[in-house]
Amino acid sequence: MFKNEDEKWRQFRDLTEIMENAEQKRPADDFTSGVMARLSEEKETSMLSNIRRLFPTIMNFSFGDSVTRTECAFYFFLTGFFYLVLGFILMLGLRLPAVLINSGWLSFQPAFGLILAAELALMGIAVYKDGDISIRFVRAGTLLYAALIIINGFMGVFFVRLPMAAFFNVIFSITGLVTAFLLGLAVNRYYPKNISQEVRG
Amino acid sequence: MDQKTEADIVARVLNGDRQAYALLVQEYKNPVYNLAYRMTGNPEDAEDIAQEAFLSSFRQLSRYDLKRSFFTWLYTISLNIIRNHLKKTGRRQNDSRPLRSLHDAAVSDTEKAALQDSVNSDGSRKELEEQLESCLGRLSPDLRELIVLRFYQGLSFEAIADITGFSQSAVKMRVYRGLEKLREIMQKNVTSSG
Repeated sequence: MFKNEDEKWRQFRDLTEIMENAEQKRPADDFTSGVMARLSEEKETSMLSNIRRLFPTIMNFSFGDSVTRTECAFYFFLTGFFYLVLGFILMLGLRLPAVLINSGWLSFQPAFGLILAAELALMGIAVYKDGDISIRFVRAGTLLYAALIIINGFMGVFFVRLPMAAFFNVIFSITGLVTAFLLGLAVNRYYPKNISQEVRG
Repeated sequence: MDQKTEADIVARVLNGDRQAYALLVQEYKNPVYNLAYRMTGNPEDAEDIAQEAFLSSFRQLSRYDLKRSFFTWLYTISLNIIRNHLKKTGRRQNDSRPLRSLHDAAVSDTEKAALQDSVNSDGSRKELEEQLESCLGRLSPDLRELIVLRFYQGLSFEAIADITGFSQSAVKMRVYRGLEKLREIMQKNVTSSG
């Protein structure tokens, strides 16, 4: 790809030599103390930092490593696949009792599962295609996913009062929120294979 | 500082020993500052950027993968901050400074030989450095950063590939293209001032 490399560099030797031998610029002598002073002024206020301080070992152990582009996309695809299967199972297998036949919420659940599947698959594709650019969009998408789960859960509480449906609602909501939290962690830990693409300055 | 020492210091900082971070700042302040200076051409901006880079890396320290080199990670953060700074200020290094005559840094073969000779004298070397810096400021930031990393910072192509996310061959191509552009800028300046 880069033929006659040495020869090509040699033609710029006059320039590169000057740059290579240029004086290294240095910051002021009190640079380190300045940084440390600014550091002590800062307080860790984020909730995650506080939680991490409370449970340092658990947090570092569980999600200490970075998540690459492929891994992050995989998590979204996997979660999307879960909702796809769930949506189809509910669509094909859910036989509503007569008392619930008109319950809009319950009959909407198969479609809701498929919507979530589509949204998560979209997030997965976005991360996989270009995680650097789409990571903010994916973060927003994860929040949207959590919001949809919460809204759906509340609607279930208001519209369906049968114990079985309430049980389904609770399980569905808790599972969804835990998944959203884990996806959120994965997005925060997003770190593609190359360091540069990962670190957000 | 080797990677294990870096990892130990990072672990200490993450466990609450904030002062240990000073060791990392002390170790890497010069290259980070030099990078910022070469990219912005302004000592005050370089100082601010270097400070921000260390503060930013401290804030993100929990995301740092201990298996990686801290230096590479820090450089990546620094570059992102520099890019943002250049975008915000919307100016290129030394744009405000008029380009000086580059007769001494001429580009024909005979002049190259003369340049090599002149590099050996301290006075003209200093002048050449300044002239080259001026021309470097006219390069696009993406090419400039690769040239700075390679030649002013003395990093290997492999390290630059790690920092920038390009493949090694892509880095080489871009550095080569950057040098060509740099030469072009110098030629233009010679023509205009001649």
